[in-house]
Amino acid sequence: MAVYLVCEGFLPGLDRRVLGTLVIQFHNLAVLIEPAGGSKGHGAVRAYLESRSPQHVAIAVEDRDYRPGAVANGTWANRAGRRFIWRRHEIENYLLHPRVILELFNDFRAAGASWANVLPATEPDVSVLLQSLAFPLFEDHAAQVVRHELVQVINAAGGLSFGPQTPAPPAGAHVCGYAQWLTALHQEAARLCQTSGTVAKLPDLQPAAITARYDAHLAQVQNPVFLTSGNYLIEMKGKDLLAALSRHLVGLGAPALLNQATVADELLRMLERIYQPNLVYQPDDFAELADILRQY
Amino acid sequence: MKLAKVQIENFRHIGSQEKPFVLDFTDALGRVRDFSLLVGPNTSGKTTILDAIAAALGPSLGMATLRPDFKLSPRTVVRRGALHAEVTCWLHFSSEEIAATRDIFRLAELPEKVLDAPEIKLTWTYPDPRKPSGFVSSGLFLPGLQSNIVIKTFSSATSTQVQVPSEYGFSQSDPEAGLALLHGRFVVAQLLATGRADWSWFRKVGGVFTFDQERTGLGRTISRQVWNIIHGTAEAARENEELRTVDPRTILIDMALHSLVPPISANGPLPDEFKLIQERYGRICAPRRIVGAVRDELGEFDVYFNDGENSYTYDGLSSGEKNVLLLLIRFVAERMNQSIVLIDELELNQHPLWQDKLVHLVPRMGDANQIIATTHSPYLRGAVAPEAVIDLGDLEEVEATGAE
Repeated sequence: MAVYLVCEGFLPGLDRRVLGTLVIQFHNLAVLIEPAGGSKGHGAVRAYLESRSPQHVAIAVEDRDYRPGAVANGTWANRAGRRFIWRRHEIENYLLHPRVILELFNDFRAAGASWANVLPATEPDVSVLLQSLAFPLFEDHAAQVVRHELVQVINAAGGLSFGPQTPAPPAGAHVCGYAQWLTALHQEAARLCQTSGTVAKLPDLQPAAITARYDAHLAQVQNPVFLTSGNYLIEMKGKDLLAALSRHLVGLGAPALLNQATVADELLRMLERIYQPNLVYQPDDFAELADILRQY
Repeated sequence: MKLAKVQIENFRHIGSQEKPFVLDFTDALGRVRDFSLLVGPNTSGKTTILDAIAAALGPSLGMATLRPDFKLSPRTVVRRGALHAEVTCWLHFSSEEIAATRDIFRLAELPEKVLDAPEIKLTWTYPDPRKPSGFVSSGLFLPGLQSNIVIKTFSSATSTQVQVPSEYGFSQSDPEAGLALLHGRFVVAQLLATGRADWSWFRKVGGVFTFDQERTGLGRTISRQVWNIIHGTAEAARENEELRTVDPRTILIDMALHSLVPPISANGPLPDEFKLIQERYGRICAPRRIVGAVRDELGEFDVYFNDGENSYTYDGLSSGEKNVLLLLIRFVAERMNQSIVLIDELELNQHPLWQDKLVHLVPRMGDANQIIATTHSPYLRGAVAPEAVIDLGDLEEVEATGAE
């Protein structure tokens, strides 16, 4: 029996290294990690892996992105579904814990980097720095949330992509012919026109409603609670925060080589140093995932 | 000791005087990475790079760093048309390592000064440009203890002065007196033989170790008492009985027996070697594990393994298990700490699951080792941070053409 963990990213990707370090090696599991690119490929990769032997099991874990937290929580409540969504925005968000970042800053100082002397030296001060880095990203974050919600609204109205179903062939034929296809194409075009009309009249898509929605989200993230509660580290795009952190370090005099990808790997090194299940994160997705994988 | 950078000229097909081949093993902050992976298809020069590093550092360290089937001769080492091969190594030393080297020199009553130099540049030229053959007669040089070359050593009351045959090439250090920093492990080995130092010194001063593709290089001197227990007194009573063994099974049994009756050192009991190997083996090869040393129905000693269902002896190991075991035993038996460890084809004979375990565990074995490994496994490459990967060619391209 082989157990696979299908994740986002590519073979030399961060997802694979984080999962490899904190889930597979930390818990010493006999599980192979298979990166599947974006989450859209997860289903196909899982199906392929499981088709190779009836004894193969593939479990997938994907980014939450801008989906509500309840959607992610729902997947962890349904272990039999074998498809899980990170409770945080994406894998980078797990590296952006103030304790992990403090460990990294201390490591820089221990290496004798003079520019690191001005970096925060306590966990609360690291949080303050992270909040200051997150603040300029608020408008972009709120817009992304609005975009995600509006896509949901449009999809709920029927969707705007042209995708006629293949009609059933007539009796005695193996494939459908001219008449069947023409009907199907006309029907789908009519549906799309009607949906377009419906969508065009949707109150949520009117400029004033969009502005109001955007303003509401912006107000929500600009509320000090969003920062002080640490929710911004869960909800916002981790890659953007990581890039902002990297820019900040380089701005202080760190070598340009300390780019977003390098900072991510350095943070992973630090996280591995301090990680203890259910202590750094609560709930701890890594520990929970290890527990699920151990069942197979 | 850590290798920060290496520059290779005319070493086989790697580098030239006009265009030296340079590899940097440091991170964004200039610290030497504890793990670097040289990735490339066959014939991309991975093994040659390891050979160049081993050949350049061995003579100055006084260690057998070259793999057994490496032939050190101008014809096999120097690029055709060139006069010399040259390998330059930039080596970093921690303050603790410098202090330990100074302490061991003091213990050995050696007059050489150990510089407070955190970095030295060591240049090795082959063949020796100063003399066509013979022995170098000046300077402080320690021998490369390659098994196939005879070394002359001279000892006096005040100094362990060792000369290197010029067929090893010529090594220069910048700063000049920096070479003493490379001698710590050699001096410990000498003092160990006379009981003036114990094994714990090998945690403080490093060397260079090479794992070739056959994972050869394992060897251990077994005490006569233990030898008699394992092989019986009749066999040991043979004239000129050799107590040094390269047999992993015998070495494991020796370690298991030492585990029951641990040797004492000046700093307390030494680490339980057998237990360490058991733990690491169980981690990499799970559910397989080393049960322990046992005596069979005939009273013969052997080592038992278990795969979760069945028990089997050393002879029943797969080639993958044997490779893992050879790696683990050498790491523990040779007390690899503070050292540069060169591993050719880390993934050798391993299932991807075990490759993952190996690449995770190897950098964590021993104290402050620097691992430089090679691979042509795309899977292994994917498990390592991109910054730690040094690409020597396109794996996918070669595999697509079937050359792999």
